[in-house]
Amino acid sequence: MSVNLTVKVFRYNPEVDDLPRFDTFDVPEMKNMAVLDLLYQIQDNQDRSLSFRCSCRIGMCGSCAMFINGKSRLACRTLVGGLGTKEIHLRPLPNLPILKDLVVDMDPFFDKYERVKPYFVPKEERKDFYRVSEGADERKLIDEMLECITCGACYSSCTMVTTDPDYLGPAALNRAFCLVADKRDGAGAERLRLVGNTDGVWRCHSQFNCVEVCPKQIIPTWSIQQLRKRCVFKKLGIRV
Amino acid sequence: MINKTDGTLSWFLQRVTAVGLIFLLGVHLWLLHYKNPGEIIKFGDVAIRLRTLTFFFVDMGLLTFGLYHALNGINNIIQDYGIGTTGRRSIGFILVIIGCVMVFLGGVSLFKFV
Repeated sequence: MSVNLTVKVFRYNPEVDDLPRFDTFDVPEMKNMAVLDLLYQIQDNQDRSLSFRCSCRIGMCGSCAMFINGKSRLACRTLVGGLGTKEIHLRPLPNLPILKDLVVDMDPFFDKYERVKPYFVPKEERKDFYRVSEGADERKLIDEMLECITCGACYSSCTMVTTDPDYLGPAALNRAFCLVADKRDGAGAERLRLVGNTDGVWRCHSQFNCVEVCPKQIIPTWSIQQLRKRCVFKKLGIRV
Repeated sequence: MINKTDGTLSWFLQRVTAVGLIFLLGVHLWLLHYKNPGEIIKFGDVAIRLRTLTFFFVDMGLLTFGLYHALNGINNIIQDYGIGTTGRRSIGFILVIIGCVMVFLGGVSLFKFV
């Protein structure tokens, strides 16, 4: 016998609504149902006007990040059964402007991401490839941190982003660390200068909200600590 | 806009003063309560004690490290709320003045016993 889920969805269309509201939908639960399946059900059968972002449906693109039952998660990777309740609350990601319903404007997130020079700058001109073996320490140092899919879950959970709109945020700082720690990269010193300020690494209070919500199990707090270490060594003139 | 205030030294000194405070508090507690347990002292005994360099430096250290740590911590909390460069610099300046005045007053009080 199928059980009905009660789904409360944040609704807001700035073109027609004065204030946001929550719409409640009853959706029959299916086996192995993800929150994204739920949203498709609602959109297909009950309310065509519901807006949400999604793309790959397999936790690779980060498009479907939203606030599900009090935590930022990927809708495609969050199984309804795993939430432990038949009542599901869906909101857009916090700390970002709302465009419509569950869709947020990711521009502030990506603006800050761009500020840390998130692209590889080669140290030198080479005619051959720089080889890094699979088990090398230098690779292990940043391998896990490279998994970031820029979903914005960490940014939306960060208390410092909420209180200080200029704070770069965990994702940007994590990306900065990936490149600073990459021996092939030639812009490390400039990146340390970009992140070593009161709206960069020094704003983090190691609350670990970002770690708790990252769908790729990245530890941005660790990356930020490593950046801080490098900033201090640079300030004290200690070569690492 | 990224704030260009470098917080490296401030962050580093917050940790240095934290470690310093733990050590000095340990010394302070040991000297006061465990070196001569059960000892009953009067103000005159305190005055004699404060003439020694050990006590003077431990107390000045506690005062300086404690003030830096506390005021820097307050500065940090204020900065958490993104008040802008001018605001940060003004508040930072006021806290520095408060710190200097309190260290001076505390130092003068301690020095009177020397």
